[in-house]
Amino acid sequence: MTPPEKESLCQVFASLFSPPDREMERWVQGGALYSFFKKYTDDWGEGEPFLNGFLAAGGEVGFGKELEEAYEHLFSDLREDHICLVESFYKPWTQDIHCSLLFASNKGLLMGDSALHLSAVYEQCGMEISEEFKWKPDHLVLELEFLSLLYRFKTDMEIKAFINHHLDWVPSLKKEFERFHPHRFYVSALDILDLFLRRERERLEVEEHG
Amino acid sequence: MENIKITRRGFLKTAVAGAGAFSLTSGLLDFQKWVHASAGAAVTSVPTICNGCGNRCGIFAHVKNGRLWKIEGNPDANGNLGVICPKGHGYLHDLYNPNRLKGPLKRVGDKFEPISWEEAYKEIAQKMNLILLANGPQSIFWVNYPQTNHAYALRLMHALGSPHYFTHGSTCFTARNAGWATTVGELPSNDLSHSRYILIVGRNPAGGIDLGQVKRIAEAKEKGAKLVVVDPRHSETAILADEWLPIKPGTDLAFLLGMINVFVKEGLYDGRFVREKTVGFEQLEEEIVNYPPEWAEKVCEIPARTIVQIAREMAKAKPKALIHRGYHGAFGSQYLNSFQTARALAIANSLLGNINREGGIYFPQSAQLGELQPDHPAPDLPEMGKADGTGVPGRYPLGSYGDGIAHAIPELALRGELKAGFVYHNNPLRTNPNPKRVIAGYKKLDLLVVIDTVLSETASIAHYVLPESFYLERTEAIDTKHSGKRAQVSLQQQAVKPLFDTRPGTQIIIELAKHLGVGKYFNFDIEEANRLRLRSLGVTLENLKKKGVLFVGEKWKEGCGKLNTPSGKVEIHSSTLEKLDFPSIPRWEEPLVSPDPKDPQSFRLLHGKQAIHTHAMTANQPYLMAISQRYDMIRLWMNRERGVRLGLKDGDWVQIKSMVGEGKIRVRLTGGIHPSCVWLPSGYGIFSKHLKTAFDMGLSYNDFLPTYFDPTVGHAMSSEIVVQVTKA
Repeated sequence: MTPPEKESLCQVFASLFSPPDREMERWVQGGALYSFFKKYTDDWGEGEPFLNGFLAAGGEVGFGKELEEAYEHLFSDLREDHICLVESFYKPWTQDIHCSLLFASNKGLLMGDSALHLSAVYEQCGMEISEEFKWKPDHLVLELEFLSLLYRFKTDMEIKAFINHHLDWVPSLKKEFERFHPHRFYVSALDILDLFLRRERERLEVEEHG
Repeated sequence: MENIKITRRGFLKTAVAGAGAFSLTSGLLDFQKWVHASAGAAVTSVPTICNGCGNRCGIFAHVKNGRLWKIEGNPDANGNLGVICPKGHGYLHDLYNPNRLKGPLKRVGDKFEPISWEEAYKEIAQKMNLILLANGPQSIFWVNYPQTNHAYALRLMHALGSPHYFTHGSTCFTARNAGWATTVGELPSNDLSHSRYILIVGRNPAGGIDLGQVKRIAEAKEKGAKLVVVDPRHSETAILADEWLPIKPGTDLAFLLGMINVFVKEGLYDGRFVREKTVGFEQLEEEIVNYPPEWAEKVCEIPARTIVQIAREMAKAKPKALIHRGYHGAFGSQYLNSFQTARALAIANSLLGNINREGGIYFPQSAQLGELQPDHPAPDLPEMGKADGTGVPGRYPLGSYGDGIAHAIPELALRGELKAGFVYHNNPLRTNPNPKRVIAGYKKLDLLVVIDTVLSETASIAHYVLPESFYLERTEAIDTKHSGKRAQVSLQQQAVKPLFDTRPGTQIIIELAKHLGVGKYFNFDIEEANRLRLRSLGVTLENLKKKGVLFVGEKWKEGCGKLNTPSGKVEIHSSTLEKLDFPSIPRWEEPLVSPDPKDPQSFRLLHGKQAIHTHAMTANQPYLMAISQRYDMIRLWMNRERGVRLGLKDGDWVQIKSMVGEGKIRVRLTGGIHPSCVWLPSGYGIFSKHLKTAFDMGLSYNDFLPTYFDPTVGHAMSSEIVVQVTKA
């Protein structure tokens, strides 16, 4: 895969975990999403199972509504129980050993170290977070958008650092998914994201150490 | 087939396109390097006050990298003397809790949908104004657990023409307050640290935690004071006591009458104080002969010799001897006889001549905050009385007009007298008696607006939910809560930026007022209001911001002057009560209901706080709930012998059933409780599914309590519950 392809791939991933819109519905129903990912899964030597969520959905009437409901069911924080797509939630709140708060090393909270770090990174890059993500700078969607920019503007060194430090929680997110019996679309989306990140980690490791 | 071509706008926006704009210092992406560097960032300290319970302890919030980093107690704060309790630490978790409310919500069908602040205000105002037009101002109410900004909530209700401002008082302390006010004119404090003999009846400052009091009791004990605790349960305070007297619940009045009998019969009272500062001693002498200690023993099950011994010991230590003024436990709002119990307790203290004396009961110095007038004229007081009947002869003549009878709101709603209301920092669906009735009442309202930080039980049924910022995210009204022997003024101020689209409570009140068409009474912000109200105290807002707590006014002086009673003296005999046809001298009155002594399954249900929870607010804090679980604290206390007779083992599940509710819980068999009662820790029994940590953990005593109104004050009589307990 070329860096522009990876840039584009990360943008698509970010779209998959954003609130679904008409564009997403069209991509699925027209088969574009399936085809887009098939090319890569074939390259990675992985088969159809990864794409089931996109294939089975294609052509179904009212899929947009179904996707909206699935997203709301899984990720809406107005629900009593939902999946949190924020990195801080899956990691100890701070590594500051001098912090004496009871929850200093707890998981399950917002605005952890990862959020602060990314806020500093975005600020230095002259980037602003839109209002709806203000309190979650380490949301998966923002991290994927940022990774996409790294593929455009930066080298493997920065990409490796970002994937290793800020996208290492995706396996924890997969575990969290298991509690919710998610819609097949989101199972495929997360499986392929995880696959891509694993492949990238392997590649970056090989390129660094030969 | 369509190709993938992204047209949506990203959520991460770049101001300038191109690689030039995307500059990153080498190494900034290295998370560990950043962690190391950020650990050395400067720490700022913001004095503020805790919101973990109603004590509003003075604290310093330390902030690093824009986040909370540590809290410490403010040693200048009279109420906590530099100490913070587990609730204060545990409640901080909510600041970064992903389940907090993040923006205003509107009910659509059986779900909530996000709504903007402006739209929410517009819709609320439109609906509220229609209700006001159709039903008049008496049809709306505001209820809150008092916050520093309660004066503005009251102002809002008055601006709208409604008298219906309520606190939680009728389920907590109104009987105690009324008893003291009728007898000595106001609610006093306890000079614990200078006392040589402290008798505590029912109050549990080490459980329903009051850090200042616990510290002062410890100080007094170090100097040799004796501490006696009268409580059906071996409470956290009883652990500190020299003697624990497990009284039969509901009979504290009998114990006090027995003590007064000894004071009078043996001439142990302060004769000079009685002659000069009291009225009605002769009538007391006539009445009290009916209550010798032997009689009291039969009623309250404390041996007569112990009653005599305590009375003599206290008399010997007088005036540096006190009977704690009490709070919720025993006679705050517990029994039919709670008002008279408070009266008897005030009278017993008076006989010791300890009123406004060092080491006795004293009247705290008060900081009289200035008014907003003339800069911002106040609305007229509403013309009509409160529909709950507080202050109305023939209804609840000694009820607190200021607090109202909040647990009457569901009844008034069901009768159609209340149509709309605001609930702020309060959760009546969980903290009021008889939840089925409360839910029915609140659901009957045409408009319910809840201001809270989480989706509590009450917020879950609201039409609109307005999210308040967490207490460390907002500056609020100045406060005089910490006043003691010298008055104090304190300030809650913002330590960190609000994380979500939330707003400070006072700002919400002001904005509601403006949308409701009464903005002319709210042409100020919190900064200006605080400055205006401090004007008369001779301190500046700038200094208060720096210190968090400031002493103001004169120091307390010993001596009992003219009291705020009709006679200006301690009213042992109350002409007010006589006119209202209530007993003008305390006399024995049975509790409303009592367990059947012949029925092995029949118990009185008591409740009380554990030091780690406040009402229903803290149960959802993971650390506090972890403590509850680690120490197996979510259990029903039962006397061991009675439990064994029911075939129970420690830890067994039991079924509790009353005339209004039932539930299951595990039992704790112990010798530390009177055999006639069982005791349920309060703060549990959360049924909002949005409060995931606390959901379905334990039970609430309110599930078993019928809706009662004491005839004098209108309080909830929340220990007048007889339950059947059986093995589950």
